[in-house]
Amino acid sequence: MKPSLKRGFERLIGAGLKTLVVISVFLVPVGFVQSGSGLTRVLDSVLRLRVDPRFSGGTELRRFYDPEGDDSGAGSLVRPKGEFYSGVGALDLLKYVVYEPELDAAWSSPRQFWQLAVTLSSFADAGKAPLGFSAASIRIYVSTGGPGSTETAVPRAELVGFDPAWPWDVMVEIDGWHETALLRTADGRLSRRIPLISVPERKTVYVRLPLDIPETKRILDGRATRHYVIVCGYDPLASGLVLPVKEEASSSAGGGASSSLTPRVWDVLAPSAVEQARQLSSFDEAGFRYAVLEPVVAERGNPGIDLAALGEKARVEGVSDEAARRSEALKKASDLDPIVSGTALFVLGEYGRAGERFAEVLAREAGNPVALAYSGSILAMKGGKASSPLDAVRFVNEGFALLDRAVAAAKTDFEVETARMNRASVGAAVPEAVFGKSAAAGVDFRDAAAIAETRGDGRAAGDRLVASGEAFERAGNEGEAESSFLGAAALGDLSAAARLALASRGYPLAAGR
Amino acid sequence: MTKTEKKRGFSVPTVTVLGVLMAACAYFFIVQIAQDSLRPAAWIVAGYFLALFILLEATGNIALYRRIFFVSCALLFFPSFMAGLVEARGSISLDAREVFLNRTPFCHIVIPLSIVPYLLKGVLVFPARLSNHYASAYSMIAIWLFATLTIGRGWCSWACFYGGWDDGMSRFSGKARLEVRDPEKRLRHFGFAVLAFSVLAGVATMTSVYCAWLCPFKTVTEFGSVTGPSSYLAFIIFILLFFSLAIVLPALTKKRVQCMSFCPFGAFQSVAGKVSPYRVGIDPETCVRCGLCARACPTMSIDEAALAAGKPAVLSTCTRCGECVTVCPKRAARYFFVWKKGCGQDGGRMAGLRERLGQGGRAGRFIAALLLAAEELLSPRALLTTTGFTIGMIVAGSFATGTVARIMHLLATGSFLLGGAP
Ligand code: SF4
Ligand code: SF4
Repeated sequence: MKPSLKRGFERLIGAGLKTLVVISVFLVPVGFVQSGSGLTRVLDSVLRLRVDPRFSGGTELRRFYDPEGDDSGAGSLVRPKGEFYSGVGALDLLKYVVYEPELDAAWSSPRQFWQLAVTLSSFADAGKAPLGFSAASIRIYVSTGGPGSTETAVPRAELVGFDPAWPWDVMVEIDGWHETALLRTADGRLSRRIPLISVPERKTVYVRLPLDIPETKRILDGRATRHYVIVCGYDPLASGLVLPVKEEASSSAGGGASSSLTPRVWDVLAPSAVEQARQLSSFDEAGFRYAVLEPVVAERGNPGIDLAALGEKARVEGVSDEAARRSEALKKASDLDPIVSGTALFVLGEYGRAGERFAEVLAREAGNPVALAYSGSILAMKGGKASSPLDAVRFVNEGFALLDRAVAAAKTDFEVETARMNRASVGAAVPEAVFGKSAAAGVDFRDAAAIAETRGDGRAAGDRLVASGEAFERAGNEGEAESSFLGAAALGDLSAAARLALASRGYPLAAGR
Repeated sequence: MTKTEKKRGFSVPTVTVLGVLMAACAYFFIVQIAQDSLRPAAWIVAGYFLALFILLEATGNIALYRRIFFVSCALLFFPSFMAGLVEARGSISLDAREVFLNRTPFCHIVIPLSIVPYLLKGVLVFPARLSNHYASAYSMIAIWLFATLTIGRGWCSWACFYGGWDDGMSRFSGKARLEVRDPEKRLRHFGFAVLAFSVLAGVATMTSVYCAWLCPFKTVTEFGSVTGPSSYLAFIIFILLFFSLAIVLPALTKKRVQCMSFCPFGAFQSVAGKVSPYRVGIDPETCVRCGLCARACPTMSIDEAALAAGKPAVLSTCTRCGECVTVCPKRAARYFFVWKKGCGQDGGRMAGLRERLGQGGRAGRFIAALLLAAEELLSPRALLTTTGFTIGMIVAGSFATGTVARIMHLLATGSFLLGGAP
């Protein structure tokens, strides 16, 4: 290369780089003006950082949900008089989590433990307890498979017994007044205080059982364990610190007990309120036998559910649903009503022709929400095919503008459902790092699910709630995701795909449902 | 101010443009983001920083005003940081609950120590918040990315609160009581050894070993609670390292001992910062080998042997602090762009044209002034100092506001804590 040419070339590169530097000087502030959630989203979608679970007690093994509002024992208990126990949800067990035993906890002493977590419906704290929940006394009885007891750790405290097939061998007592939990073994050999972490924001208390005693060492082989989780009222003056229940409520006892053997238990971990009532009413007054509780089983996987078989079922069901949708759409593709034919063409994937139909509608009625919604989706999809990223972003944004207008203009259930489903589907499909629409999609799917449910279409509602949960998951909002998934799990009739999505996340599913 | 320093400053139009830019940044990053109750303190901090920046650009005395800025940032950072922890969780101690909840403030030193474990296991081996907090992992990573792409290891002289402490300590006494010479460059290599050790130990244990055992600045940020023999040992190590590396040795040697020889991030940034477009260099033609720059360099990044041999070399450990740039009587030490071989004068290329224009009446003088301003604004010195200052201000701004607000609160109410401990 000629020296002058080379010099010119070098200068050109220098000038280019310099321009980049100058831009970067201004990009720093501009970047940070734009930063916050946008930048975090981009970084998150690239790095997908998750803090090593060894800092938080290990990975979850099993999660159990207990129905909300079933905090009156077998259904009859009433709270004591006075403010102390009156907090709504203060005795209501919501969730119980069993973790894998942690053998190498990071930045923690001790390094080896087994974490269990209990979530209440509320940490109402009328008594101002140090740990943020004053009314509840939580007891977790665990059967790790060794010899144990079918009676409570403190006789005549909770007034319950345990399934003789699964006697407990180790238990913990937790309340909001002690900074540590009390661990006891069934043989009475051990009674020791163990670490406890209360997190009022999560309405959850975490307890860490040491792995240095035979009872807990047993679980290291990965065996299933059985758990009885009981919520009693906390009473510092009563036997075993358990608030008594009598026929009539007073300031020092709950009411509604039909017998002297009525369990002093407000909530127990059971799959349904009916099941809970059955267990808590199983006492035998004549034979002087306490009500017998049945444990939940913590084992790897989702017991009773074959994920592979469910996956296959979901695939087959998906194919036949799609075929049904297409054949229905084929019948309507030449309907005279452009909304009907446009929608059918959209289902058939003929977006160009569908767009023309909706354009016809919009020419007549510029604010038609259904036409706006589908036109928005079609425009956004065009973004997905655009060759330049700038065009792609522009199409998607323009699509969203139409979708927002559709949602704002929608009035009837059909219009709202169509507009929300379109916006949700686009929001869930576009990259979260660029558009950040996942959380909004989660809300849209949820609203569309509510409409499907009122219409009596539980299957569509279930699918939409699962889609909502998945969208919230993508947005990193675990709490909202959980509530959508739980909403889906509570529905009676679910598609195989929805059941697969729930089961693979460990949500409760009645086998064979 | 000496005559030479005066001449080193930028022209009035340049200082005005840069000043306006910095005023906007100060407003945005300090005043606008402050809560209403902290606004008065934010205005004070923004005004103070802006004044330092204007003095820096107008006088060209980077060494002095950068140092005042940098040390101020550190001094204003620590009280606010610690008070913020006390206000949020009742103490500065890092207890099991904070670790469990992943609420440990994420500091940039963790970045190089987390990379390999992240690549191996896909997890962050530090219990920090990921987002939505000033000390979350993503916000620190974002600011580190910006800093690396722009000022490179300049982070260590413009933005790092620990570096500000070390820098301040290294200027504590007028004269070095302990003269360090390091022809073998062992001191400078030690930082790389600490980095290698920390990374390997981190991979072996899948935690950030440096943070748990070696960070001298735990002493002025947050202690792990002393709960047993191992945490007691860690406590002793922190105290010893802090007093030796961050107080005694810098004060005795006038070198930034912690940054030069111990900080794993510093070593890492020496390498990562190679993507930055700026370097400090010494023009062999103008250099008279007086050695003033090498003596002034707080990180011993100027190879004395090479300098004496007439082949001056600035090592990758250079933190772009500008001490050598300021001290050099011949202006041989300068900032330059990496793509420019050698290191020509800043703002000197169109001198002839400007001179001719300057003789051509008012309009000519005006155009000459504009040309000079354009040249100065695009000079590596203006760009680097402006970016460095902006990043430093982003890092320290809200902490500085917090400290000033707390001082005001202390004077008014007798309590340094805003709203008291929880
Ligand atoms: S070397 Fe480390 S402590 Fe020093 S300024 Fe750089 S990052 Fe901060
Ligand atoms: S070489 Fe110059 S700019 Fe770099 S650290 Fe040393 S004194 Fe500072």
